[in-house]
Amino acid sequence: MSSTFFTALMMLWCALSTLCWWSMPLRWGISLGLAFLGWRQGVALMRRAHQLKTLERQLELKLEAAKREIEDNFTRLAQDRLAQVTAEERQRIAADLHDDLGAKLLTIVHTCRDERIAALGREALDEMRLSVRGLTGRPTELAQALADWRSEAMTRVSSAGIELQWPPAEQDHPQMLGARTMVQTTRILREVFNNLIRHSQATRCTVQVVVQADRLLITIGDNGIGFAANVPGHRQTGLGLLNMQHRARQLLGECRLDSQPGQGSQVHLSLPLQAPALEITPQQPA
Amino acid sequence: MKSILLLEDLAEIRAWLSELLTRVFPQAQVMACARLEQALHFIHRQRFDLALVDLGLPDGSGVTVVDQLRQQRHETQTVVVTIHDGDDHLFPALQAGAFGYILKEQTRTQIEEQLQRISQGEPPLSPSIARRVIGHFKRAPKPAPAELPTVALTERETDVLLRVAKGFTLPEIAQQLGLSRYTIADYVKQIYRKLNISSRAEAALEAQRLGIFRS
Repeated sequence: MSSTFFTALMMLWCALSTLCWWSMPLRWGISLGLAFLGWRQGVALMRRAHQLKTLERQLELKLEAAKREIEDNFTRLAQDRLAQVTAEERQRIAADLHDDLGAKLLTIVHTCRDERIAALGREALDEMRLSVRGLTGRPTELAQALADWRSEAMTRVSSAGIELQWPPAEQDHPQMLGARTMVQTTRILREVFNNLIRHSQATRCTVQVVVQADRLLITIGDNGIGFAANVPGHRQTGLGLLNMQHRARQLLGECRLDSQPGQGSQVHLSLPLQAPALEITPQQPA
Repeated sequence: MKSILLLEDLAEIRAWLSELLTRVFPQAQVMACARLEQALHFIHRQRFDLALVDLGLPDGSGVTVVDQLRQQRHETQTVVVTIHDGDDHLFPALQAGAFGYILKEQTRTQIEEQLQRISQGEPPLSPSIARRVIGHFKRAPKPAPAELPTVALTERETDVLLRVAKGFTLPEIAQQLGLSRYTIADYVKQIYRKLNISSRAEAALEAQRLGIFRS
């Protein structure tokens, strides 16, 4: 549009330049107009060039981002594949353990007449499951673990005729428990409630859970007959407690028992919430 | 309880469970078998009130039997007996229509108690299973394929599930909601039933999808 106008002006200027002197101011005017138009065209062109450059830069950035994304995806895929292969292999080992070793141990547990051997078989089975869980188990959210523990304890303790007070968690605990920590703690709590049901003669039991930034504190108290906790060789300072303490120590935690005859007893369990090193190292042979 | 099917491949465990079943249900006739094929043969010939099904069998998975029993619509209470304690193994069986599970390594008394409760119509529901059921219904496809009904949990059922997932036991929930334990047990049964229907819908959709890809 402006270029046709420009050409028309040019032609008019040429035509006028052949005429006489009075066309002089007109010619000057036209020259000025032409200069102005040329300047505007130049500015527009420069702006256009600048826009093109920005666009090019933007495209380059986009291309770079896309390239990076593809690379990331590729790395992630390779990692996923590796994780998948590892998981499959672990699943296979776990299945073999369950199907062969587990079946045989189970047969021993349910068929032998010797109580001691049955107990040993059950322990071996427990250990096997523990290793399998450690192999294949995913981390559990602390809130979920607490729910599982509460539910199991509530069912067992109340069916033994003991009142259990365990306030449910008020808030969600996002901390994660590794498979091994989860299983070991489950075993410890099971042992605590076993003792409580079998020996304490309690009518009431209270559980308190305190979640700190990096520690989990569980206190289980009962109003049972209690016992002299510091006398060695006592039934509760026997194998059960030693086992519990051993398991707690493996998790870099602590398990303590307070009791006096006639005063009930209290188990204090303290566990670190993040012990990542324990989760990846294979279990030490006992 | 008149007739019970017991499917377990380990001879000693089979004998042990069989004896335990006769003690808990003295009037019942127990049909014990070791193979999937045998069990399928049995369930096509007669109806069972209760079925105890092991999952890992030499000739296949016990889930097949659970599925077949459900398809017969004989109201058989199918219970999974398993050595695996992870819900990864249990969940497919529950989706196929099982109404509960028993862990084999438990003591005689524990298993007897659980069997009693299940036969009285109170299937077990652990927090971790409840969480998986919640998860399942969150991502369940909507709408379901035409031949299957769309199922959704009612508000009450979801409430029960959430409470179980938080660690409350069924008797506690009954008390909190001012309901009888039987009503709560019915909710749990409904939840298991809906899980089964919804899982079938999901499987049907998945099959359709695979069909599209193959053609």
